[in-house]
Amino acid sequence: MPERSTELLKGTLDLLILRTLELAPRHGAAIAERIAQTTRGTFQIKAGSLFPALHRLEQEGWIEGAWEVSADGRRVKSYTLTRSGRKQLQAEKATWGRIAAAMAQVLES
Amino acid sequence: MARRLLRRLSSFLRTFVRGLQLDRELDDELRAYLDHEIARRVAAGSSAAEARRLVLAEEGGIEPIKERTRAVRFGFGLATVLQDLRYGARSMARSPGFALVACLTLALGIGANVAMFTVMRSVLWRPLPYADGERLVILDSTWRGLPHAGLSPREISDLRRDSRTLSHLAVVNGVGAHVEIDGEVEFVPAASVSADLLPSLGARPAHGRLFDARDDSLHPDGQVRSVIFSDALWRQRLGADPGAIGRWITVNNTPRQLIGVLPADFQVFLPASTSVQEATHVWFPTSINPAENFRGNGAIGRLRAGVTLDDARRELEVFAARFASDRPEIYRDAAATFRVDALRQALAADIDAGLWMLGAAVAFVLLVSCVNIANLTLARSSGRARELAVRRALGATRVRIVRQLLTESLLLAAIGGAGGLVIGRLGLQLLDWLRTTDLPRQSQVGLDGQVTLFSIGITLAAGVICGVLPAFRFAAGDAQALKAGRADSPARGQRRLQRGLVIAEIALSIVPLVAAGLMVRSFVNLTQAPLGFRPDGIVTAWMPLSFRQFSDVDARVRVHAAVLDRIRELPGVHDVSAASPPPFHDFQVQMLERYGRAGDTGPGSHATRQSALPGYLRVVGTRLVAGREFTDDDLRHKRQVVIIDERIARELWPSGAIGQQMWVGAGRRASPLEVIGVTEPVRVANIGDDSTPHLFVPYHKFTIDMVLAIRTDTPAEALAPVLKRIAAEAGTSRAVMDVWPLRDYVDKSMADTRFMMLVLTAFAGLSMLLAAIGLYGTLSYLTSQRSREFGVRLALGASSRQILRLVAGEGVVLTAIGAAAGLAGAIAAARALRGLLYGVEPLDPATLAAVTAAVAVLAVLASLKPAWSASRVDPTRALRAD
Repeated sequence: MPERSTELLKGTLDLLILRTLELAPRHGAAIAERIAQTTRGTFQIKAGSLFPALHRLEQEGWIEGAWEVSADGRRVKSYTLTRSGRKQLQAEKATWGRIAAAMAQVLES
Repeated sequence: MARRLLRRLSSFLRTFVRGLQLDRELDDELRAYLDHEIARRVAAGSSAAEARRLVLAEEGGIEPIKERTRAVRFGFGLATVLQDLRYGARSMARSPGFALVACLTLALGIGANVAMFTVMRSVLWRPLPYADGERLVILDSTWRGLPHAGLSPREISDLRRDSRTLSHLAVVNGVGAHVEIDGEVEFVPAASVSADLLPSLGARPAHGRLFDARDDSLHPDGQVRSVIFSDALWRQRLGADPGAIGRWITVNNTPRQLIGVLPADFQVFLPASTSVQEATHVWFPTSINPAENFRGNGAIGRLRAGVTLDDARRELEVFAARFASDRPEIYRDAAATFRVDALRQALAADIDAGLWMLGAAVAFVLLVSCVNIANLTLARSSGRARELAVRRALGATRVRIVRQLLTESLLLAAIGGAGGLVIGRLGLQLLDWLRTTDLPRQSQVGLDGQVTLFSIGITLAAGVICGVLPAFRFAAGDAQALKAGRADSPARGQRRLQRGLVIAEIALSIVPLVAAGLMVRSFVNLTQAPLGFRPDGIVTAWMPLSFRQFSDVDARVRVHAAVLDRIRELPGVHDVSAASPPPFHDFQVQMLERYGRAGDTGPGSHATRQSALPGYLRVVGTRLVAGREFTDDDLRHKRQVVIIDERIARELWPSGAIGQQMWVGAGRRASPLEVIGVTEPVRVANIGDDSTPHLFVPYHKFTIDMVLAIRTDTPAEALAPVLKRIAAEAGTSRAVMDVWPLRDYVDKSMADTRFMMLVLTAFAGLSMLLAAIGLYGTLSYLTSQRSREFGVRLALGASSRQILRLVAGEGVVLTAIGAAAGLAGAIAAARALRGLLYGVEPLDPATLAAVTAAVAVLAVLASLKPAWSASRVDPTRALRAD
């Protein structure tokens, strides 16, 4: 288990969660696992950050939680991306793209 | 956008309505998460217990996660407040005694402040109900040492013509009006005003018109026989008939034409120096005669646009110099000094200092109650140290704990504040009842929005003051409290803080105590002041006379004699005579007169003067030191005689005054009067003034409306109808009025001091009681916390008497330090009281000693019970308990 993790930029966590849910509905632990996998352990999301973020996104109406039974037979709350969540994701993606491009330009010049 | 708002609203509501369910779901969700994480580690090879420990350590505990997740809910802040409130209410219910004492003391403190604020705002600060009322000013002068001497028509006329700072200068003087409608005579307060006054106060006629040039006797077409009525008089006596305008009505024995009625909402607020009363019902026109030099006119004006009060004052000095150079024969020896004041300040000039003192006293009371509650809270919450430490350990942040403790004290304060509003209302009624004389603008005193805002403000302040010390003290959340199974003797810092608060309380309560002590001494001195007459058993009654009908002095003397003879024959009447004005009547100030030895050229001193009929001194019991009283013969022959009191006699003729000649009043050209009697010192103007001497002149030297003085066993109420009938049958054609015991005039003159004394004593007693409760509470608490220590001491051989001394000694030391600090403060504060005291110095040793003794006794009483129970500690029990 790689101990090295990176401090998340403010607002990045929302983008990560939305993007993760774009592919398929997932419950909390699965979301954290998936993010750790895809970033190869760069981002280790702790419950203390994950759940406040999930509940905030749910309140904004970008994701929707529903109780269901997981593959291993446990009752879990699984989150799905909503229509407005999809729009929000596009907007944040665009913003992120601009920031990344700008950063790249600064660093490479 | 709207949908978004709707969603927010619904989740906001969900936070409150379904908070519990949301919490349960969050629990489930987190448990699922943890199970998943643990399962993952178990799959990777850890034991179940090991995996669980690792996960929990990594995530940093479940409670903080929950706390943070809940915090993102909309409206969660409010939900927390509600939760804190519920919690606070529960903890109050657990110790109802504490809650009751705290709420009551706060309610008393806040209530007293609300009442005082209401009075001070209405009397001192609220703008006058006149358009642009802040620009209204009153002009006055001091004439040869006489305050409130007013202006002369000539001065007013010059100012009207030439002043660049003042406009609308008008004359106003309070007078009386005998209104005769349908044969029934009624006496009402009235004012005689020049045409500018009413418009300057923003009055508009409800019916008819106001005064103008047509009502000016100096105008070529003018006539003075017009009159304006108040709305109340028009309603009561004329049946609110609009057709009454133009009607001729007999006022003061002269037919006058009613030309206008003022609106119902027109209020009259003019300084006492104009002697215009709030309930003025009749308005007479008056003119300003530029050739007349008599002083005594109230003058009201307006500052012109862009002009300040200081500009007006500077201009008035220029005018004073001009008057003096134009007419040196009048103004020689710098006879007059002029002043101009804002009308609003002038209205409250007499009561200002007293109100500020009471305001300060109630602020002290509230401060003491806050410190007291802080102290009790501190004592109580140290019992809760464990509970708070547990909450800290379970993840509550420090801010959260401070917030909760503050919410609790604010809850206390809010209940106290609500009670305070009620008490404030009652307090206002109490003030009304305590004061026999009216405050200026008393009719405007009342609770309203501003007062409510003030109450909320001081309630919040009180809540914060009560809560902030305990809150920060305990938010530190000592983990030690958890480790030690039970708190031993309280931490040193805590003890120091509590002792400091007790010292502060005692010090704060001493300041109002000293002030109250000084006021009590002043009042006692006043009641024992030698008046120079015996007021008990005497009924007085004004018997006005129409001077037009009885234009000749002899006729007036005859009608008085006739009335007195009839009264003398009444059953229960022992003796009767008359004099005027009665002692301690309001317009006594106007009755100051100059006097001196006949032939002397100095300006003379001034004395109060009464006009008396034969037998008056005998009736009121004024002792003659030498000579004789006036006789019917003196009146019949119009002898030029005078009776003086000892002080004048000593000043002018130390070797014997009888038979000497003196001048009184209208200057040295007046024919001299022969001194025929010398009395004991008589006080009639101001009960607290023993330096102004007094003299009596016979009725024919000073003929004014007389006041009957009747020595009788019959109460005033029973006598009133009889007197009215006798006067009517004698044909005075004026109503007899104000049938009161002479004692009432005396009491009225002490009303302000009595009022101040009662209120201050109540507040001082309250703050002293609070301080005692604080001392008792703190000692009891500290003692109970130290019972184990005492047990050890006893077990090691200390006698219970030593323990008693230890605890009681602590109380005495705290009291001594607090009292010393308080006395230092009181000495500083007492100097500000000087003007309100009578016959006692601000640093009166007796008062200071009495206050110190009272505090000492109370301190000993408050320490006795805790000390006694400390000495009764059973060592085996104290040591065995955990």
